Amino acid sequence: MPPQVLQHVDAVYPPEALKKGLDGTVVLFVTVAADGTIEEVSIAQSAGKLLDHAAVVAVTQWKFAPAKRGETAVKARIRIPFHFAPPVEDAPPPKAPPTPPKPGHGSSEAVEVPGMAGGVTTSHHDVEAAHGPHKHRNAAQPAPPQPAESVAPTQVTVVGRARSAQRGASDFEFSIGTLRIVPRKSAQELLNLAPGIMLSNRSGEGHAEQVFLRGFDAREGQDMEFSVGGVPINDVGNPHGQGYADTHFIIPEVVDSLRVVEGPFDPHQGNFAVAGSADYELGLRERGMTIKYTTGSFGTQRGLVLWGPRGESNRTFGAAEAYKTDGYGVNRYAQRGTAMAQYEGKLGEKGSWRLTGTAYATHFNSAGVLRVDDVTQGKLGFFDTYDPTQGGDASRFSLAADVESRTGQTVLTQQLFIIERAMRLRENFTGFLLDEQQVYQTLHPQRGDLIDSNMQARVFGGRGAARSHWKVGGLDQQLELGYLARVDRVDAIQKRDRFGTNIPYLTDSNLTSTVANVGLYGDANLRPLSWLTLRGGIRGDFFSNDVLNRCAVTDGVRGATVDSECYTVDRNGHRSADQRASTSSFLLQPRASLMIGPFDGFTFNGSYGQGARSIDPIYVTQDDKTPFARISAYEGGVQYVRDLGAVQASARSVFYQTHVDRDLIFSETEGRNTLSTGTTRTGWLGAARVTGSFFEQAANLTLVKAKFDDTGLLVPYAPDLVLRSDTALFATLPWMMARRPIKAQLGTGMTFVGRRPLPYGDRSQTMFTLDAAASLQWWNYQVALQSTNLLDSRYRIAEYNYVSNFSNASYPPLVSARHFVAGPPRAVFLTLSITLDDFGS
Amino acid sequence: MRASLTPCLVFAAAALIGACGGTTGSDTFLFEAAAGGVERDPSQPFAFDETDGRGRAWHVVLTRALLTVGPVYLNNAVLVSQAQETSCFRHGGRYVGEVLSTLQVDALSPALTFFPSAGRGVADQVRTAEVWLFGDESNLDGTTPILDVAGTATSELGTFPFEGTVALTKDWLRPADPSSPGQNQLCEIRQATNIPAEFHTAYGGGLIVRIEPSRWFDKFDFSELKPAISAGSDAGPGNVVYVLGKSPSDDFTTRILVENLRARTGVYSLQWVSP
Repeated sequence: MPPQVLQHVDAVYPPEALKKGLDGTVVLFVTVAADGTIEEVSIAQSAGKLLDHAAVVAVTQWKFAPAKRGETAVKARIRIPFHFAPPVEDAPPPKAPPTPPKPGHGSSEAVEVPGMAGGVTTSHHDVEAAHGPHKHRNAAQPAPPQPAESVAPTQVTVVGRARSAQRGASDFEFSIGTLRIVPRKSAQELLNLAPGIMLSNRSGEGHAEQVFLRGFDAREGQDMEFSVGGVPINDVGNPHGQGYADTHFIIPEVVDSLRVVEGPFDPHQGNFAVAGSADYELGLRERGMTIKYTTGSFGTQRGLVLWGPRGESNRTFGAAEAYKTDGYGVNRYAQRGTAMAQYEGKLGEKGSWRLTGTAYATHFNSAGVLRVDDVTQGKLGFFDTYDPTQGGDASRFSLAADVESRTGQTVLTQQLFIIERAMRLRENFTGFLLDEQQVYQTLHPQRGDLIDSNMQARVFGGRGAARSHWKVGGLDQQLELGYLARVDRVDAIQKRDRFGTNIPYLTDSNLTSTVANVGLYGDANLRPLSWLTLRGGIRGDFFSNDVLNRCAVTDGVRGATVDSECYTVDRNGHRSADQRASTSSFLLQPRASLMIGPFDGFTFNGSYGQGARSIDPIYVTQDDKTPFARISAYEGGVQYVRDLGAVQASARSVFYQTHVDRDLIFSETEGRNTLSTGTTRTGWLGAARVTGSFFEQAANLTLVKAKFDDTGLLVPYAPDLVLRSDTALFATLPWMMARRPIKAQLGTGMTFVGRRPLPYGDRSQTMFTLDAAASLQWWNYQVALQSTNLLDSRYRIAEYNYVSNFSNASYPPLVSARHFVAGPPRAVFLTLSITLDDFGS
Repeated sequence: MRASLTPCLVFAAAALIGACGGTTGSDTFLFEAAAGGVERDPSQPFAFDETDGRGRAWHVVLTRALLTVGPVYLNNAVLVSQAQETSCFRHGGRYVGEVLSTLQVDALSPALTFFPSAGRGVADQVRTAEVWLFGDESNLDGTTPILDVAGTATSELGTFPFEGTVALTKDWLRPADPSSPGQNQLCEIRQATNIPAEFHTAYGGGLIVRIEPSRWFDKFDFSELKPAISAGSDAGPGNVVYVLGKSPSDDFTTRILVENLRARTGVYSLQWVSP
């Protein structure tokens, strides 16, 4: 069923065209996304710049219900002709109402393309909506409505790429759509659209966000698999944490959609998908060149150029960003430069190829943690820092190429990628606590605990799949076989620096690792009955680790050289300073989802899956088996989808439980995650999204209890209650300027996080923030006002209980104390943007 | 459909209530701490008998015994000696209580004196304690005396009135082996560590440190002290007082006193009092 027009806006016959007496038909191709939003408008038949523009302005104000295949909304492209005729005298209505495309009206042809897009059928359709052309006349000289003229159906180019089918109620695919208005500083903040996710950042704007999900402290990615267009983001062997995933290289404006799977239920999910996975799909809906400039609080400035060449797919774009901020409080300066570009071309009639490049570099400072007692005693301000040398640098350069083509009933995909990545991070959690005097060191005072970790990595890899379709009893069946192959070569060094300097005095670790991962999976999507769907399969992952420890002996023994490190002597005499360890392992991970329905809009599902996190190279010992930690996850849920005409509503309710055999818990003294015992998380989430002609509302609530298996005590830090709401209001104002409409948008994002459990029976403070934005758009100009933390609530974005000695006192505090990282205060930003329609056309 | 939603709402409400409960275990709190001498009748002289290293019996009467103690730490582990060799703090285990201030204690009086600052603790089992003898926080080199003692010791050799102060300076350190320069640190002689203490800390309780000055003089040979004229007196047999040495070169027996100040047993006893 093709898209349904919910609201249409007539095109205005341009006064300039009237002078020339222009008459003609503009044919537009309009791509309507699965959420009903207009994803792309392109001109199939031009009638000159003036009339083309009038048609585009009109159609971009239309509202659609998405096309459907069965009960599943799918993306589709429709053809809408607009006929412009000079004014005819004495015609009563000022504008001619267009005839919206209707199913069965005229002739239409839906072309099923196996393997495309998610949903029950996993198909995209390009629909030539057969309907009459829309005739538009000058309001002063209106013409009567013209009868619809039949337009021959035309098969148009397929849009969209193969995506994995939905895995039940914990599989969220978000088209950002109108919720883009809600202020988000980074692509990672888009994760807030998914239930139960809380983001925290303790170490500056270039530091990856810490992700809490369903009772997991996924750190900066250790328990969550991140990818962009299929290219992995998680770092292997990052000294700050295995799986560290920095998504700051993604310009949020070019994120077209985001898929979050909460749990290891999809055989496509690979390493680190313990709590779940997130895959960003890049795209730029606006064509032409858009230039944005943002200025605001704390000396923040951002320049952004977006370019979507006309006539190309919305997957073809270029984007470049320059950003700098002095940051709130002390020592929060940051700057970065980012460039992203992607080209999507056709590969024959039924395929496409893409080339994607990214470049990103940042330098940033960090205030780090503060002791609560020092702040309450007035020794420090809420936004101060102990150690101004904290901060870091990061860069990422990547190139990815992929093709997708169809042979018969099989869709083939293949992708290759290469990533060059570097990161330096300087953090001081403990002040002057850890620098223990060694026997073979000259007597020294506490020199400071600044952890100076550095990583350089090069990643090569590829992934590919073959997905075949066939029908049984008229129902579509699918089977996909795929692989991921990846090798990381990582140099990772962690040192300790003298306080307030850039001078290292101790090497904690110095590893050169080669980590290979080959994952193979089979994924079936079977529909034995129209109301019964079974999805899942099995994934096998092979990991090999070859780790050269260049500082194998860190403790001196008798005979060691004084004031040395990485000793060349142990209790048995002389030895080399380095030592190699290698290991490998293979893991099978079954994953399955059963979906029953829909019945009156309700679909019930149950899912089971196993996931794994590979071993951190620092823990590799000869022939020790990987992977390191396994997770088993279960859930049962129900989804409800209802099309109420002008309003689409959806809701989900999920009960879940996950078990990790050996969890990792963050150690402030180690500056990294350290081993713990098994843990179990049990919880519930609810999510709802309502979309209307002038609004969009998404809200979710997640509750969880995370416990250690042996003691039954709570796992610290992970929030047990997260509530999130995103609201967007949009309308065309009743006034016009120069005969052009003015569009207005309002957006709010609200986050409430309950009191998180902290070590030693403590609880953190609650966290509540409200972000808001308003924008006006006229012609090609847009002005937007954004405020983050609108209520200026003073909150702690992170809280910890551990031992520190920042005063370097003669009487060092050795008992755990409360520490926190200050959340950002209210900030206000003004953004001006201009779109140059014709640039590059 | 309404009927099918009801169980979901019930489950959700139950999950909401359940999710916000639970604990990671333990508790954090502030507590008061006090110190004093061992419990006894303060109207009676503080007298005791001890035997020196040569087997001689001494009867000692203390007239002054002021010791500056603090900070005090409580640990939930029995520490291994290796860890103590080189570390000035963080001797291992997990610290579950601390009092980060100092207090001059009249060890002859059982009356308790409160430390000037509250202690910080977490609810846990305590197995060992540390009593540091750092004196004032600015006393980085240890030159400020932490012990002031006076009394009379009597043995077969006669009566030895004695007095003196002890400052824990680097003079008391053993010479360092050049190949192990980090082995002998000043901090080592300024801490009594691994003191047995068996109790469970909890919110509302308090810490009491009792000091037993008689144990300072275990194996102490008063006859090795050097005589001096007591301040403000003329020279004469009745005005001679034997003084504690300032370093090992002055006399060997004061080193014994310095070592005894750090004794893990006998000198310090810690007790947790609950309301």
